[in-house]
Order: sequence, then structure tokens, then C-alpha cells
Amino acid sequence: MKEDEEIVMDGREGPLVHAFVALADTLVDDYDVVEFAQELVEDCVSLLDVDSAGLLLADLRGGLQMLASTSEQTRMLELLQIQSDAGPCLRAYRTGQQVLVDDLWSDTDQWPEFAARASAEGLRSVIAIPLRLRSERIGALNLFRKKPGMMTDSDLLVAQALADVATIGILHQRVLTRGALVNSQLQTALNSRIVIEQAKGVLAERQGLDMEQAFIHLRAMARNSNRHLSDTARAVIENPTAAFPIGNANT
Amino acid sequence: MTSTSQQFLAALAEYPDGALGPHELCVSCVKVLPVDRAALTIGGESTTWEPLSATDDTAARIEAHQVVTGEGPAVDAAERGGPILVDDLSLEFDRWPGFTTALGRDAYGAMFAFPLQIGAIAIGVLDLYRNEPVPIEPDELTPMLAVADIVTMVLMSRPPPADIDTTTTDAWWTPSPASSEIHQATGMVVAQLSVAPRIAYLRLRAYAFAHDRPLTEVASEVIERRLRFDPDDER
Repeated sequence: MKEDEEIVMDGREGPLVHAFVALADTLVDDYDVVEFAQELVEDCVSLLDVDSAGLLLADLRGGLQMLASTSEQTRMLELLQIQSDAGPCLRAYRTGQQVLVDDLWSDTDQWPEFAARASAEGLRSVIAIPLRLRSERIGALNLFRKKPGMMTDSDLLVAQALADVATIGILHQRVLTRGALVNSQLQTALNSRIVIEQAKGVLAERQGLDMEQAFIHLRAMARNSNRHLSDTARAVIENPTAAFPIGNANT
Repeated sequence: MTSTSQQFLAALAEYPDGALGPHELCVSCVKVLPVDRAALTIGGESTTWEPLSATDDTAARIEAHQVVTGEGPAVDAAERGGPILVDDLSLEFDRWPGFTTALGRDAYGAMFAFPLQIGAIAIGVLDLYRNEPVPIEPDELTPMLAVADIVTMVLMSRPPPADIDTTTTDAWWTPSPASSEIHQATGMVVAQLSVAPRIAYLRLRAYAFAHDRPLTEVASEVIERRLRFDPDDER
């Protein structure tokens, strides 16, 4: 940050500190990358004037895949997912530049399908911030608002700082110096996410839940048994006929 | 599909019907990728680990040492759920003391271990070797991952269901697109049939193939509860 730029705090010191403490925790050995990303996108919604947030990683097969989202609603996930082919996140990832769209309802030419889906969700402005570490680009942070216009400069600084926090947390950067190693970390993170998606399906079927409820249930199970989200997800998949009460310390 | 994927599928298609096995997969890897040797270790989920095939004796020896010592790039790759890339095996004593000691003079060159996986579906590991310690470049990783995806599909789904003719199409071996819905549907079928995720995934793919519909569409139907898989059904 340059000297004359300042972040306006107005009551968000707590959540900002929380986000950075979470990062410090990632420098310790044992952390769950999907949990970390989930908390970070939730921090974005509480710290910034945005209505939803998602985080996408490069899958190294030419597209972007969702690592975390503040909403598990299918249509929200699809809105993130289609950016694998075209959208602000893909552009931010490829160019390494922030992409800011004030009003999707009047700017429909660039990404017609993305704009149409976002509008159907009531989302009107969008920000995509590339996740970058030195010369490596690993994905993008996606922020959505229901109203037109753009975030304040102060908010954009916070958003960029959170994107940097996300990048470092995902890459665990102290051990990485080379591009190929960076990319192998992305693979690990994305595979963890797939395990969680599979577990959501097991819970949805077993407990009669929709996918959003299934995710909430999975997180509650993990918290109550004091285990990582990924470990809980694997246990759910390995034992699909169990009852899955939220408070059972054995699952 | 990347051009390396196409080359790899073309290499697989050269084998006569029924002759495509793990050894042919290894040989095809060396044919299309910038590596000198390849090997496959099978295991994961509840299966014990064992070497499956290798292009030559050196690679076979290295695979055997990994299984016996329980150490090595493939072991770590499977445990971590992500690739392990080693520039120079001779420098890795601290990381894998038992493995590198057992290797002796074979501890030379580069080794890249790719877990063959889709989330909780874990088939094994593909190990790729270079005779010299030449590090992998970032743009070399994508083709290797694409080949690993196809190897995963082939190993997971051999033999194909009886009513699918793989001589006329390599679509059966082509990995499905990545989508949350496919993975969620896999989980639902796991619970519906009380089977391992690999079996659930294959059932979904076989259904899509048999009905000539995209897997993403079938997955949506499962999630919307318009399609179920019941143990008693013949699908």
C-alpha cells in the first residue's frame, strides 16, 4: 500500500484481525485448505460491501474450478462454474488484473451467459481479483453485489489484501519457489473440494437435505467432532449408511 | 481436450481389442510425455498397495521399493491427494530415508508421482521418471495431468460394461468434465446403493453412456431426485 492510501476501518477491525489470524494459523502444519478458503470468502462478505463471494482456482486443464463459495445454492455455484469458460474471473486470472463491472445489466456484451445468470440472481455488479504470487497466477476471488456501482477504493484495498491472504494460505508459500510446485498445490486443494462435494451428496441422500443444507450439516459435524472438514467428508463417504447426527463424535 | 490427450488416446487405440492393460498404459505414457520411464501402483480406498506395471526393470524396482518401505513420492502423493514432483531423487534422503537407501544407485534422476483420483475415489498412482535430474517445467504439468486423468478412467472402468463397445469409441475412456453436480450425484448414488464411490461414479457414467446423454445432465436429474439408483434395479 502506498503511504497516502488508507483503509477506512469503521468497525471492521475485528473481522480483519480474524482473517489475518486465520492466515497465521495456516503457517502451522495442520490446516484444511477448503476450510480456510471458506472462512475467507465469508470474511469478504462481512468486511466488504458485497452480497456474496466465491473463490476459483486454476485446474490446469484450461479452466477454473470453485474452491469455496458463500452460497451453496446451485445457481450460485453455476454462476461461478461457467466462468471456467468465460467471465470476469477467467479474465482476471489470465491477465493478472482486477476486473470491475459496475453494472451487469447495462454491460452484457462481454460475457452474455455470465451476465444473464448473474442478473437472474439479482446480482448487478461484480469484481474479480486475480490470486497472484509473484509471477504465478492461481485463480481469482469473485465478489458480487446486488446494487450497481463500484466498491470504494478503501474496500478495494481490503479486497486485494484478502485475495493476497487467500493466495498465501492456499499455497503455503514459505516452501514454494517454483511454478510446477505451485501448480501441484492447486491440484491437492481442488481434490479436497471434490471429496467435500461427494460427501454433500451422501448426506443429501441419507438425510433428505438439499446441497446447501448438506454442506451446513457437514461443517457442523466437523466442528462438533473437532476434525477437519476434509477428514469428516471422507468419513461420511466411507460410511454412507450411518445416521450422521451432527453431534456424534465418532463420525 | 488437449493435444496430448488426443495423442495418448490414439496411442491406446493402437492396441487390439482386449489387449489394453496396465503395461500398455505405461508404454503409452512414455510415448507421448517428456519422460523416460513410467510405472503404475494400484491401491487406495480399502485395497492394499501393490505395483501394477512398469515400462522396464528399473522402474519396476523403484515401485517395489516404495511399496516395501512404505515411503516415496507415490506414497506421499496418495496420502496428500496431490502430485509430488521430485527434481532429483539423489537429494531426497532426508525426506525418504528408507526409500532412497533401498534404491541405492537407482536413486538418480527425476520422478513425478500423480495420484489417480477423483475426490475420495482413489485408484492408485502413476509414476513418471526421467533418467536425468531435469526438473518439470510448469507447462509440462498440464499434459501429464491430462494423461493421468485418462489413466484413472481406464483403470477404474476396465472392463467396460458388456453393452459398451470400446473399439468404436474412445469416449468411454475420456474423463468427464469436472462439475460439482457430478461429484454430488456420485455421493448420492453411494448412499443409494451403499457402494464405494468408484462404483457409484461408474454406474452414473454407464447410465449416461447407455442413454447417450451427457453425464452433467444425468447428474442434475439425480440431484433433483428425478432419477434414482436402487440396488434391485437393472440399469
